[in-house]
Amino acid sequence: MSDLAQARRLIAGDEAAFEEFFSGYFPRLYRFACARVGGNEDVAEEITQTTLIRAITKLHTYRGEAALFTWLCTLCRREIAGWRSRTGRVLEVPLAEDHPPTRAALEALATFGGDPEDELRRRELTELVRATLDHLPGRWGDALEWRYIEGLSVSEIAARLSVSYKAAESLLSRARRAFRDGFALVADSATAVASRESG
Amino acid sequence: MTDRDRRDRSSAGKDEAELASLLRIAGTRPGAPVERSARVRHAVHRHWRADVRGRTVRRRWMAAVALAGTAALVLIAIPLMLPTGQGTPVAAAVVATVDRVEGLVEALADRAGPGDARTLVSDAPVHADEWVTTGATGRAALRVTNGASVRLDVGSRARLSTAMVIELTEGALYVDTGSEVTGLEVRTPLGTARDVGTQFEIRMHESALRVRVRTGVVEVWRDDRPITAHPGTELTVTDHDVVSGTVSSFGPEWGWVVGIAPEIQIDGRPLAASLEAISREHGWRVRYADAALAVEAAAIVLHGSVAGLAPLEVVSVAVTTSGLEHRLQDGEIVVSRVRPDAAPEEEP
Repeated sequence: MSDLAQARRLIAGDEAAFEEFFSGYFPRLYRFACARVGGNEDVAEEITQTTLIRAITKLHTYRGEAALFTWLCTLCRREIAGWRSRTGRVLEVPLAEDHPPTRAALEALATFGGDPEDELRRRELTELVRATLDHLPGRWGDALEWRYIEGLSVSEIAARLSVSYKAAESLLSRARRAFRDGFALVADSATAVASRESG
Repeated sequence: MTDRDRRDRSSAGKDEAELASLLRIAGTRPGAPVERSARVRHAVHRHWRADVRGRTVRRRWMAAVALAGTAALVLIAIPLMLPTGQGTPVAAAVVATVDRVEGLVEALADRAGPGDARTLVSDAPVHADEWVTTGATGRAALRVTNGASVRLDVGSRARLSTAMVIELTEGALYVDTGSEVTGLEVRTPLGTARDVGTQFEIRMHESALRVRVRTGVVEVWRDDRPITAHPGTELTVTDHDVVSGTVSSFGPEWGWVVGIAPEIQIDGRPLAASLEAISREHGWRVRYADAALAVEAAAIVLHGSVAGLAPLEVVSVAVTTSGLEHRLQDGEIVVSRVRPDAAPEEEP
């Protein structure tokens, strides 16, 4: 189902669409907010709630030109900016997709040791991977985690998603491709930002 | 299988292995805590249901109007079909409407459970038995039915028992009663502030109450005795003591109040009235270079929208488009005619 179709079902009052919307976007949006408010979970919860409520109020203006998650992130950024300006906070939050993690961190995967710099690079890389997964459409990020971290079989993933084996296989294939392309883009842009900042 | 197939498969396997190792290094994304998820789900679901209901009711109402064709039927239908707000129907009277809201602001009826809070949005009604709570991210501006403006800072909890009585148990409240309302009371555990046509802030601290008066007069009642505070006064009231100090009527002390002020509307308003309204919000004064100019400013009617502009930009746009000039100095907007000898602005 396209994001626009999901939005229309929500506007129409479809309860299943709400469940899909909430379970699909709340955790991702919460992580998105949490990373940007210095890990303050109370603030992240309030901001996520406000964002989702604003989104529902404005849902009729969503045209499907951007992914629904991208649209939600835009609203969430506004809430965060408002919170910062109201509370006079300037947080220096190093964010994977906004700032440093570098291609070098990626290339040095094999040489990760235990020193603090390695740890920092590992954290940055982790944020980058998670942010990329969060921005994949629908349940693609979940499917990749189930397959490659939890080790679920394609059949088990198909069962979790209530789709056929073939459909799960196809979804995984598209998710892998999207992750690889997306991750490369984000890493490139992060490297460019890091180079600009250091140069 | 051809060599090419084998190469492709081997390359695909390598890609997949790299992807798997990358994902394993990152680990599973942390889920949102279950309690938080449940709380937010409840609030968002409630808002969504109300939003859907509101749309349905509006659609039905439009359809009814279209079909009815007679005013009589419309008159019968309206009371039955008007939306009752966002949440479950509340019997208590509406005492205020939300003018503006930022961040999370909720209203919870006295006898309702914590999960029944309504998230307030612009134009939502506030009822007499509801506690309005602003969280760590929220601020709200309410328009009371008697015309007074009441604003809540972050971390506040207040209830408008009536249009004239506000109970404050946490945080800070700003009241602007304008010139038409007097006698509005803000009751706190440490004392009651009663206004006499004024703008003031009342802030609860752990064991003290701070009252800052911007204009007009406020009486702070404690132990059945009033302490009168005039403009520019800051009173700090504790269990044992009352300390009086001074506070400016403009500047950063009032920053949060200005931040949540309702949008400025200038369309169709005279220049003088627009400048007065902006100045009132900021605690500034307006002074005209001469009496004739003050009369002229009252006759210049502004048109257009200034949405999104900062207050000083609004002043600048309004004054400049009226063919005048201004400067802001020590809390005073001085409006004057453009000097004929003023050097023209350089072209960029």
